[in-house]
Amino acid sequence: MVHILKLARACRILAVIILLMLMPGCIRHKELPYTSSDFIMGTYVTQRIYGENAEEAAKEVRQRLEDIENRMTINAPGGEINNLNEMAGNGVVTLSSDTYYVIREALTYSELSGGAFDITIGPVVKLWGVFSDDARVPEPHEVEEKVKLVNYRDLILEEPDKAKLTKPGQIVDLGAIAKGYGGDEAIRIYKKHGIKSAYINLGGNTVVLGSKPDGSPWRVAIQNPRGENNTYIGIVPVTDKAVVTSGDYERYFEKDGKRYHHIFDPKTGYPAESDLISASVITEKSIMADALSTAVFVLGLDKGMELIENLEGVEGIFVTRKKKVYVSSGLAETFIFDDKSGEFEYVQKR
Amino acid sequence: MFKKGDLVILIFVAAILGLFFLYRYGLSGNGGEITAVIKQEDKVLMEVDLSKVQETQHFYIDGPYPQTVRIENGRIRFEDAECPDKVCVKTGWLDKPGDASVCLPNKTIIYIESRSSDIDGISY
Repeated sequence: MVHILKLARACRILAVIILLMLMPGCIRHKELPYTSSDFIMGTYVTQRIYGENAEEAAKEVRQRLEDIENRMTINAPGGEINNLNEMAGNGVVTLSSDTYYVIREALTYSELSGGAFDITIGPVVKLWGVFSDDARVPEPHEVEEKVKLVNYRDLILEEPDKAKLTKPGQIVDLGAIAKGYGGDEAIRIYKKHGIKSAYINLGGNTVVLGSKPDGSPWRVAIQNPRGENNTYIGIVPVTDKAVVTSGDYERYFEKDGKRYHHIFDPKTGYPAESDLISASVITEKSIMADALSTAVFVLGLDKGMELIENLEGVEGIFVTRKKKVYVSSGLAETFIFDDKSGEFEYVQKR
Repeated sequence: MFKKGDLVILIFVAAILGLFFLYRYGLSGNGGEITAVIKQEDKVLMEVDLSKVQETQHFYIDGPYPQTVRIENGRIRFEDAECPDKVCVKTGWLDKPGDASVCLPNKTIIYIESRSSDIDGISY
């Protein structure tokens, strides 16, 4: 009898001690995000979502991205863009509101960049075969022939859901913008599920919703364009922003000591040879950041910076061949230059 | 002052507390652990604590473009791949939390788990 009483008392004491020990643990305990990684849209997609409904939201985003991929791909059969391309020079096709929106946006950024961004680049991309196993340097006459087909003005939209390519052989390639759209859709889905804090990375396109759960901004690093993966030249703290980078290091092949990368100049049909090796664009709309990072990379430092500075709510980070790093005026205060390789020079303002 | 029964209870409590601390601060602490994860699509092929690797190991991944992973003490990398661009091999060694190497053609990734890092992600 005495023993049982003592045991009961001991249990109470034990319970109190354990509770006391757990308490500071509860306070220190950080909320862990729901994370998921998948191969979608021909790339690696990572999501990090805080809050309830995170898992559901991630699943819906996955499905949405697969949807977008199926509609807009030209690397697999079927879909609306393949349809549009097959009908080039031959009439009008009907598009979903998704695809129509993405093309309309793309044409806006083509105008804005004076044609440095152009989704009718398809014939050139195909000729070079950068994304396939048989990448090669084509003959100059081949390039000349294909680049004649590149002109976003030949891509005509008809309200509310029709589009056509004017000339046979023309090819729309949404590779430089579809992931950007995917990022915006992901954020829309997170918000729909009541999520306040999330991060998604679509093959290097980084998009964040809100700030981190502790209220601090997300710290997005900019890849060192000449370093190994996972090395960076600086960090930009952001909330509710997309950070998209275009560089000559992402996809390329080398032939006779020359680097041929995957971002083509719509005017020449050759890999863009501006003074930049990397261009990052930071703005709220991911589709805009995606398109403009390509445009700016093609335009080069001077024209690219001018374009960025003239747009409200859009900032940029530029790395030149001479390994100098420039940022637009809106980033002068916030960009953290952090180059562990010691090879880059930060030129804050020109 | 103490009875034999008290002593038993005291030891019992001490043991519970000891186990609790071990669980909380011993096993779950990072203690120099560097966990690398090799995944293909959604499937985890292998998890390895790099700090405990003694001899160089190789790990082979099937798929459309077979790959060889090299594992050493404290670091891991794609050593060889039959894909055209070999981005994964060019990525080199992974040895810090947050490091990752992705192969799109073979849908594989190696990453080192991170608890905390100076950055939240990389734009590339």
